[in-house]
Amino acid sequence: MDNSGQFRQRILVTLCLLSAGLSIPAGAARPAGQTDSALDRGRYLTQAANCKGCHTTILGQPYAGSVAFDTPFGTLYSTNITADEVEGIGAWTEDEFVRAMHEGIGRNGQHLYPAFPYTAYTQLSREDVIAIRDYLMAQPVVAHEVPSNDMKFPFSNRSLLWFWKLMNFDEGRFAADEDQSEQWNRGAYLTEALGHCGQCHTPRTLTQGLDDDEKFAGAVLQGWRAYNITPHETGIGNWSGEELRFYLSTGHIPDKIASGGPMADVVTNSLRHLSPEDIDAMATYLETIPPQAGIVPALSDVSFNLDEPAEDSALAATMASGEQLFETACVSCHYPDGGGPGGAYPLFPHHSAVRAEDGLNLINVMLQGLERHGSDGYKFMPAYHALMNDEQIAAVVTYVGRRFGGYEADFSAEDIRKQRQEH
Amino acid sequence: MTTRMTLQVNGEAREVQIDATTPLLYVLRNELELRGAKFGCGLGECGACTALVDGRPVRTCVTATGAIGERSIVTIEGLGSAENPHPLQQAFIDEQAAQCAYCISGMIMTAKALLERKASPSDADIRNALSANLCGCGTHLRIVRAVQRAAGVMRGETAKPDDAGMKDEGVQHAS
Amino acid sequence: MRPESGTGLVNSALPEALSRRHFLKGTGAMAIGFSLLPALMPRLVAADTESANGVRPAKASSSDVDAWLLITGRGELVIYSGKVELGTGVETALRQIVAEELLMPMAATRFIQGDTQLTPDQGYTAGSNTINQGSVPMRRAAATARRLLFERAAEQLQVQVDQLTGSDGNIHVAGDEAQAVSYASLIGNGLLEASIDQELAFLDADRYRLVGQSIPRVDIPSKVFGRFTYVHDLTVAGMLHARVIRPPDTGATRVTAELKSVDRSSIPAGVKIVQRGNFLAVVAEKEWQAISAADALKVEWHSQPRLPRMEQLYTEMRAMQSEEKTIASSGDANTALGEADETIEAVYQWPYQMHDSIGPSCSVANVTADSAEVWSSTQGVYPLRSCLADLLSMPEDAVRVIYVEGSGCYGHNGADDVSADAALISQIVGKPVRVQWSRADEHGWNPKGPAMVMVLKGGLSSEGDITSWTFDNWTPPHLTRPIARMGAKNLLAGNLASDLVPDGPAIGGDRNAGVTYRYPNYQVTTHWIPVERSPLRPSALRALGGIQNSFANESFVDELAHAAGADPVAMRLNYLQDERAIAVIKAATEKAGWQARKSPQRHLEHTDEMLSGRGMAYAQYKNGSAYVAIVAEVGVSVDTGIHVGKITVAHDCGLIINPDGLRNQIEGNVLQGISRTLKEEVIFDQIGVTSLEWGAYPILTFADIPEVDIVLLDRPELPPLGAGEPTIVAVPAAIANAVFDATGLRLRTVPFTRQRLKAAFSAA
Ligand code: FES
Ligand code: FES
Repeated sequence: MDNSGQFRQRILVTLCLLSAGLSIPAGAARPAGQTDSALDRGRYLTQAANCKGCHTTILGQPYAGSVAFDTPFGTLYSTNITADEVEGIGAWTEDEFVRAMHEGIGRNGQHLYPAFPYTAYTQLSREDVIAIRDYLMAQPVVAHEVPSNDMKFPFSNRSLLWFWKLMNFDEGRFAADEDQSEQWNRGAYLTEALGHCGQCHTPRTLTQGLDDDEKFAGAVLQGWRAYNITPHETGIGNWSGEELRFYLSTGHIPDKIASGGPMADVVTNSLRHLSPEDIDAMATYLETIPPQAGIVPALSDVSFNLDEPAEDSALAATMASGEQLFETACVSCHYPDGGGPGGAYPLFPHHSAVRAEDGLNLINVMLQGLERHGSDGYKFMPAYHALMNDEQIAAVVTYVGRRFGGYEADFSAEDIRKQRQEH
Repeated sequence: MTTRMTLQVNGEAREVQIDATTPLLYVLRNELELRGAKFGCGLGECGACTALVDGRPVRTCVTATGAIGERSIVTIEGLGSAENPHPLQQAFIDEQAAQCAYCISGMIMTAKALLERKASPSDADIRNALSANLCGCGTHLRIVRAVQRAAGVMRGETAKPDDAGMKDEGVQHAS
Repeated sequence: MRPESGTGLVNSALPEALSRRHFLKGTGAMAIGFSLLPALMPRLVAADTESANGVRPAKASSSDVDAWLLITGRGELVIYSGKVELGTGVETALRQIVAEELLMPMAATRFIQGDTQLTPDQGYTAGSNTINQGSVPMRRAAATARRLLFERAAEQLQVQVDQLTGSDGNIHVAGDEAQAVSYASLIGNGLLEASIDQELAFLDADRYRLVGQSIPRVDIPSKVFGRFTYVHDLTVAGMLHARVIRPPDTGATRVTAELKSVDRSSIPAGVKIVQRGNFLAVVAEKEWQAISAADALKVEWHSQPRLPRMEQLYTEMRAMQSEEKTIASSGDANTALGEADETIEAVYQWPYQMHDSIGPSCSVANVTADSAEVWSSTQGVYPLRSCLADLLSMPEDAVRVIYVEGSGCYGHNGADDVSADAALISQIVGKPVRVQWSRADEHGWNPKGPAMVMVLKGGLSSEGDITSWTFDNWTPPHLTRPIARMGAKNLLAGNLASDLVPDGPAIGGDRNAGVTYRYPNYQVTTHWIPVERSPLRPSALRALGGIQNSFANESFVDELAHAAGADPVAMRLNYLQDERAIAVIKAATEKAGWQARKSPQRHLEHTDEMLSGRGMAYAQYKNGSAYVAIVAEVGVSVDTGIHVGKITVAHDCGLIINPDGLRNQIEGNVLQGISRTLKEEVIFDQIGVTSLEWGAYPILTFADIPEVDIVLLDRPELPPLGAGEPTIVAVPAAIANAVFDATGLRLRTVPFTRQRLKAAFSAA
């Protein structure tokens, strides 16, 4: 197997150093290997569908499954989709594979839990589904046994899914909108079907179906907030078209926004591999989504004139501790106001994670750090989950939230603890 | 591509011809032969490379030299010397606050910035301020004592006799 | 070639009055029994003209006094030590010991360490053996020299030897200080030749002036002024900077990845690419150029997932083909187990851990067609020389390895490997080369302290007496250091360039496995897993297997005490007769105010309640060296994890050379012990190590440090024992026992993270 050896040996060698002078190179997204052969096409589609993201654990072999998904109804584990005959899909027929992708029905006729996004994949053409299958079947076989799901009663009964599907699932292939351009339709196919962006970015209804009235307005999943990606000023409305395209293929916009957590994984595993034409198509489509208001205030709406906490208050002590930690642990990379030296990643207020009053993603990034491979290279921030304790992380997040996020942040060790448990 | 630039280091103007993206650490160590700042991680994680830039602790391994400009840089060599030790350096000697000492210059520089902003830190303040500086040898207890001792000296307090760094109490003659 | 900055030969920490330049300019330095081999002379002079005056080659025979020390015409005492300063303070301690024996002041000492051309071969500086073993020949040489000087003085002053007394490098007639001669004048114009008298008595303890005193460490001042020369700080004229680009199977024992292609166009001109087999490096004039090029170079490797899944590591280790060896046995443990009224069994697991060196390894080498000089922070200059000679295909005596202190290593970190990298690259490019490992290099590629599994069974009588004890552990060898005449297989560069597989003797995994308690029946067995089967390259990490085995043994004694309803301290004392063992346990428990107890105090019921508890552990390091007892006090809650509030240590390592230096080591052991118990675990996937920086492999921070209270038991009439490791072995079990005392949860897998605690709570 040729693996990403470069990624490994190269990891952590350097950080991007200069904040000044970073600009968006034109057409930074590399053209992915053109679809010369069926296998290349399969790889491209598999990447675009990000199968790897959900079917590979952190230390596991690609596509061997076992990633745990905590849902309100219990814990699900992604399956082994390598060609192993016993544990994987090696013994599946083409039709069985297509049925799973299109109809959410397993090999033995059982309904599949919709954590597997067949509600999106149902739109894929049969041809594309088969290309994905052929690619998966050509990957290294891993005889890895996945733990069985741990669903609470009555959700452990899959026949209930029949009812769920009735409410939340429309089986059927993608139908092009004749009124829109070919590019727009390609974008819709990539975004809705292959990329299944809505699975994270669209809020869910009571029955955990996607709430299409609020398409892409943002939602919380696995402890992370997927932000509003509609063209509203609280979403991506203030981004230039160029910025949006750059973001999609790199996962960041210098001095403006940086993706972490699951989005960084999506960039690493999927988006960075897409061709510039496809990135363009996705952006074209996203720009036409009806705007929705999200929870993160637009930068222009944030006022940075918070009252100082009362002296001797607990909050003042937290702020002092946070400031101290920020100065030693953070400032060298995140010199925040342009008033000092260095800092590869300044301009904190621009980051949604800093302005979002739930503090979720900010806490997550402190705990888990950040690792992202975009089309423009590797980005890294250390995880502080064991380098700082809960009180310290709470102090840093409170300080950053108040000072650079412009909101009345006051996080406690308890808040940090809760977020730890989400992971 | 290299550029010529002038850096203000330990009170002197020093001219260097470098690639401006080179992290300050390598410029200090290799161009200016100031090797007190150490390479530990190159990721801003450990603090071994800390120097002061305009009085603030900066991790020189992630700071591009080109971004420094006219700001004044102080390294451990500029803090004091055997002839004229800074109270922090003297306190680290008095407390014997070192094992391998690879982390120590970063500790001292970070502590210097702390004492500038807080003349009478509590032990908890010191621990918090140094907690992003890593020490593999486990010298932490002595480092906290040394910073506390230096703080006292810098406030003009004279060391009490029982402050002596090396205490031989607790030695029992077992035979 | 001599380093431009820093000195390879002489400790740069010397006070100015004793600087090398100063010393060498002085008049005729003479060795006692100085007998420079004429044949070596020209080479030495060529290698280092300045040193021809006083620095002489290593003696062929280490039984000669002058192999170890030399007194100059200026009255300075130069010590030649094969043991080296690793940041633990041994340099100061060794100076104290030798100066003491020779009745000379500390200030007159100079220290030359670890140089294959100058110092004796004392193997590795490791295993807490420097003070107890390493100091002995120096001390004997000093005692012999003292006698010779006294004899000569007696002759000169026309008195009997026993009428003389000495101090500060002078000898005078007792009661008449006017009748005196100095060592310098005794030696000044003649040679004294002698071999070491192995029988000579050392100075009486009651005459000690230096030994037993907290003499400040000689190296600390220049370190806090930023002027000490670590190996990282060394430069040599014309030196280039190199970085090694490594395959994906990071840290694996067997590196099987193959280099498929290197895109030379991916890096700027002016940077050289060096390749030999799978050994690949970039070389540049500027350090940052080399780093950037290593980052930019496009390389394709072919690799296979060959390592076990991490969650199956311990199961797989127990199933591996291994060699069984009885470490200790008495009576018939298995029969007694069968007959016991109650038996319990427990499995303890310890992960791979790495060396926490804050400075990644670094080395400078200058290899020419017929000679090699390598500046290294290796723990053994001689064994490294031998392996480098093989790597470079040169005769051993053409290679000179010079020790220069590095960042604290705590065992076999990347120091030897990086020297091999530098040497190989220097040979290929024909220029002096400095290699500085990256953080990821050190985290990923330094040899790891081995993972181990310990399975214990114990039998109790109805009265609560321990009737049987069995111990089985599974361990790879803890030593794959460079070993003389074993070739280059224990150097990474050798593995990569020539496809060699590391190897090493069955050492370390049985350390502290044996029984120090007087159980009627016991059986202790080690199952040695061959080096090449260890998923990650195993080697020496502080205390070797002592920490894993003591963790298991001392946790299990507590488990038996719990089963018997006994106080853990009383339980231990029931089975100990060694007075020194009893003394440390009593000292620690008294100091900590231990109250007899039946653990646990309480059972944890809610995840947010915070409970506190105390636990103790005892060990005699290596079952024959220093004695340590520890009382740990912890606060535990499932939500917030384990916080160690206080550690009380009682420590008996015989004669104490330097109490403050000792205390410094004990504190370091305690803190690193807590770090290894609560935080440290190397993470790997099926290809290689993935924890490549401090975020992924965290260590103790200032936020985690406890109060540490130390009782030193001094035994001036007994020989000194090493203190670099003993304390750490007792730390993990003391914490585990305290957690049990607090909560009733028994943690048997290190590190004790919140997740583990939570899992134990859910399972309870
Ligand atoms: S070397 Fe700069 S922070 Fe570690
Ligand atoms: S004293 Fe060695 S790393 Fe701190």
